[in-house]
Amino acid sequence: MNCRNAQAKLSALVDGELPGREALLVREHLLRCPRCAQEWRALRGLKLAMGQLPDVEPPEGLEERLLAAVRREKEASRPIRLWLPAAAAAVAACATLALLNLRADEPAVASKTLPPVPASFEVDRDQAYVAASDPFGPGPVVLAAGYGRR
Amino acid sequence: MAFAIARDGNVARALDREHFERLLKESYRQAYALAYRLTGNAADAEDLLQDAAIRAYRFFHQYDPELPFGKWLAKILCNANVDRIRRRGRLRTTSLDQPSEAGGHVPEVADWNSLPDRAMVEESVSDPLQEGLAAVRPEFRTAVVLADIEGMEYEEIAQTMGTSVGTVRSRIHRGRKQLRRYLLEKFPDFVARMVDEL
Repeated sequence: MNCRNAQAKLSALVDGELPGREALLVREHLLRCPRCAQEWRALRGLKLAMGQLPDVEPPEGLEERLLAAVRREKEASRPIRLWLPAAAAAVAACATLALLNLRADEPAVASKTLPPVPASFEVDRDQAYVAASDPFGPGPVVLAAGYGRR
Repeated sequence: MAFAIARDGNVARALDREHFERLLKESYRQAYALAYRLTGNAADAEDLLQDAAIRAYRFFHQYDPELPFGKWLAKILCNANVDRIRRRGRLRTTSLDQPSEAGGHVPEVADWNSLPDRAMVEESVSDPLQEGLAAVRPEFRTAVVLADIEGMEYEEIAQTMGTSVGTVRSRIHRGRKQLRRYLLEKFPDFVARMVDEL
């Protein structure tokens, strides 16, 4: 391993994040190269010093200020959130009414939903039709409206 | 029925809010320490933490209770910090982890007067390391702080910063090199003591 390769891995070695074989190769290089060994010591010293930085104490009243900021956010978003379900319910109700209204006005749909016709009526109707079609019959026969569609 | 659902939703949200406040009370001290190390001064640290807390509240429904809340808040805080620096117009838009378009590598920072957080350097007093951190590029600084102060592993840092382990490794290495060069230039005695103490 040359110096360039070793130096690129020194921080990972310091952090214990280098896989076993790679770590071994870098360590071997450090035994032979004083310059890279010095760099490794410097990086390690830096990491240790960073870890020893004093704890940062939060300023007085920070907890209250944070909670107040979050509560202001709650208040700001509340009107929308409260009205949203009610508005959704109103829109759904309007859509349902509109759909029912449309169906009531639709004739083609209505003809498909008529109640079934009794068999006796069908026999009477067919006899009337035959009578009306007979050129030697007594005269014109009035058929029920919509007969041709059945 | 819709009103019953709305009422149940309000109850659930009220419980969520209580839960959120409890978790925030438990985690804000550590989050403030991280914010302070990232920003370098108390006023910016508080602003950053407040921004992060509000974002966390807005997206609390996405929080996985199986994970530590503190780590989740740290992730939000790091993202908020990147946005904060971008707003200030101090973050370069070119990636420092990749070679430049011309094929060469982006040079390490040499001119300390044109640093991304020059104001942070000026505001940091009495602590060479904190001042040195301000001299490090924000992406590198975040990675170094998460590794050395928060004690995170690379995998964890990668998740927090939304990047790969390889990028984390590179950012930490380059961040430490920048930090060391700054300290050598500005505080040579401090560096000598640091190595002697090993």
